[in-house]
Amino acid sequence: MIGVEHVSKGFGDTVALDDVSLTVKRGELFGVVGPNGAGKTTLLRCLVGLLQPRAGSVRIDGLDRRTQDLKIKRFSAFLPSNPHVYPNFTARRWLRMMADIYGLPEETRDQRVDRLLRMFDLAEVADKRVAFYSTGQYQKTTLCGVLVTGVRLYILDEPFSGNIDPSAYAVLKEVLPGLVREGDVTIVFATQILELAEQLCHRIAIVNHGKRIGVGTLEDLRRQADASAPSLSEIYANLVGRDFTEVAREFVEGS
Amino acid sequence: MDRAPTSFSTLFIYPFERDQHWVVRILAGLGCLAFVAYVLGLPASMGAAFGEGLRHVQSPAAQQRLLAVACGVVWLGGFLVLSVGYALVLFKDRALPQLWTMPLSDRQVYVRQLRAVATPALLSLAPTAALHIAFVVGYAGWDPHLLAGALLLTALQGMLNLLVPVAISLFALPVYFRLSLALLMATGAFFMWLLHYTSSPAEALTRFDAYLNAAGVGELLSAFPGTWTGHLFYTAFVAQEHWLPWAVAITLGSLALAALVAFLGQAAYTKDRVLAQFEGAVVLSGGRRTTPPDQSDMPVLPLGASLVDRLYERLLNRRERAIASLLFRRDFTGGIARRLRNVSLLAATTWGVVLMAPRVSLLLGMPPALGSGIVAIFAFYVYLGAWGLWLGDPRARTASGSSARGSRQEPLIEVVPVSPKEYHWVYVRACAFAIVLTGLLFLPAVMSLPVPPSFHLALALGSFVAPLGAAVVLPVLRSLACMRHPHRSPGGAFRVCAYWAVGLAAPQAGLGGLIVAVDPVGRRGDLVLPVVLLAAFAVVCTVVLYALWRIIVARHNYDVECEMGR
Repeated sequence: MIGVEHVSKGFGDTVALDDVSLTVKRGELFGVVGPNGAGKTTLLRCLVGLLQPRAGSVRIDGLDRRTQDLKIKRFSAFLPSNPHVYPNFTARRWLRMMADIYGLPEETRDQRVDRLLRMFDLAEVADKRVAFYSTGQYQKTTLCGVLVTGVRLYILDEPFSGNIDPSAYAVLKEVLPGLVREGDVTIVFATQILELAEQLCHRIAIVNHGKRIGVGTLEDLRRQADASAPSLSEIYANLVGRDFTEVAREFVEGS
Repeated sequence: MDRAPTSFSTLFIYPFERDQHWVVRILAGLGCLAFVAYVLGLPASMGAAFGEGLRHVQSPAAQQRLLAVACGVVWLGGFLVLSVGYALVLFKDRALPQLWTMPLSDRQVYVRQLRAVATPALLSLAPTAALHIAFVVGYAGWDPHLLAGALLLTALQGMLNLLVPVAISLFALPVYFRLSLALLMATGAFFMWLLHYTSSPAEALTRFDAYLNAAGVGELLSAFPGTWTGHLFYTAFVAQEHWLPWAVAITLGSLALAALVAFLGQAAYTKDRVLAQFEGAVVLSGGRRTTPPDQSDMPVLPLGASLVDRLYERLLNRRERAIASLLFRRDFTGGIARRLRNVSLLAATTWGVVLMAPRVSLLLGMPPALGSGIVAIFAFYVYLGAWGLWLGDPRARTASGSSARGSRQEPLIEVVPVSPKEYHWVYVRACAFAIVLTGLLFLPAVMSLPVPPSFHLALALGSFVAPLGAAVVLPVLRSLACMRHPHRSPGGAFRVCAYWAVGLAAPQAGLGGLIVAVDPVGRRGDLVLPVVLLAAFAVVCTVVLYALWRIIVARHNYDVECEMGR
């Protein structure tokens, strides 16, 4: 579904992605993990075409990201890390607008909007202006705005980040694998929550300092880390090359 | 959650942030200077007018008392309002979250903010006053009454004109329009008072001739309510004494039309507020509260907005309406109606340019069309900061860095399946319709002007052609600005500005040419060259801005990606 080949990207003198290659298969739930500033968001932005790589290529469903952008957009949706909803819209209005832009039939659109609003506990505020939402409600609105599109490729930057409530978190944890299971849907998402990636993802890429330092299933990663570590956290520590227990101990003793 | 950037912050705060390129800051500085020119301009005339009126108060003691009290109140009030207003804006826009996380007491935070904003507020009044003194002395010699009046109205007008954007930032459009109405009423009352105390309207108007000319330059540089107060002056001044009733009628009529359009827009896009603040809306729709069952998220629409909505439903299909919502960043109907209001302001200013140009030009010793064009171009460059960026392309807003720091928002339009062609086509159709509708609203007012028929034609055409031309040209230019360079840069906002500018200035130059063609002064033979120069000026401005931007990007490889972080 997605082919990233030798992609590099920099900002001035800073290298954000350095010769990254990976593939995502159709129907896969694919996680991207890594420390802050590792290049996860840059990678996702290259996937959705917001950034053009300095070198390398991105192909989605056989289409070149650079030249066939619009075709790709028709079957993909992106949740950015800092999404924006126009404050004068209501959640319902926003969702309908997104669905209309993706050309959903009216009946399907309205059903899906209602379902999402109920699912994420937004029904009560659905007709209020977004400007008056809490941060969590705002974030859920943006998430629903992506899910309402009904596309077959979702690229989500930190969909589980801190502001959504436990119910939404739990729902989303069910929705993502459900979408992949039920249809011809592929999902790529970035997250900092290793347990979540371990639990949900078919395959995971670990990036650090702009490089892909590991990719594959948990078993693959374990081999790549050359460790018998049972959990992704320990594999991650091995691949990133840091002993977090030691780092914490030093700080505590220093204090 | 982020607040949408305001015209105030777009114009006065974001361009000066530390990570903006120096060219951006310089350009922004020029924009602010232009705004200051506006603030300087109108008070000059009003101050002189007040001073002149004051001379007719018979008792010297009464004059002194009046002056002392008025000056004290206005200066102090202006100072306080400015300071507090600025402080509130800064609090709401930027400072509050950061300051609140620092180890400062509430009182310390307020004191720091007030101190920070009080100084520039005070200073902003000083040069205005100085200029007015120069005006008055240059015109009438050393007359204490005139000077006092000038100072008084400097403060008053400065306060009002700076208060209004603050109010817009803080509150909502209803406040803006209430303020506009209040301003207009105050101005009208003042004008009547003035007429009462001068021996004849003709005398008063003639005496203020020079000031009004000067004021006009500044007046045209603003989209704020001063435009409407200035309108009264323009028309009265241009039309002279026996046309005064027309002037008042036209001004009030145009204000009413704009207010109506604004009202429709405002009523359409909010639900709760509509009912609370625009009870009249319900009356307009015959007292019926009609919420369509299949549009439960839509507000209770007044009749006019429903009509606009229905017209647009015929013009655009469902997906296109969604795209229009995306483009205008508003619920569709409300967005369009708001656009109508802004276009009406644009048309009003165009009208102002047309009316004022000959006088301004003669004052400056240049051919009328040249003055008209320069004023128009300059005015619209300034428009761009407050109007274009604020209401314009969402990508331009992202590019300008005008969203709150630390929480940059992604440009949604970049990732939704809309082709540039579709995007522009929807934009053109929506804008063209809005402009035609606005033109129709303005036509009766334009045609009522007591000027030769050929001038009527020019004005009527100008009201249509200039903004319509801009709306047609703009999408193409926006295409160049946004589509070809999807990687936004810190200079991107100004690049978009440049395109907006030429898109708006070129029709204005054309309008200048039209005026030349029907110039009642009969100088058309002398004006071919100035018109050509105007067009060249517009092009040069654009090319220079664009070149600057390219230089920035090429030299520094500086694109917004690095700002956006990883």
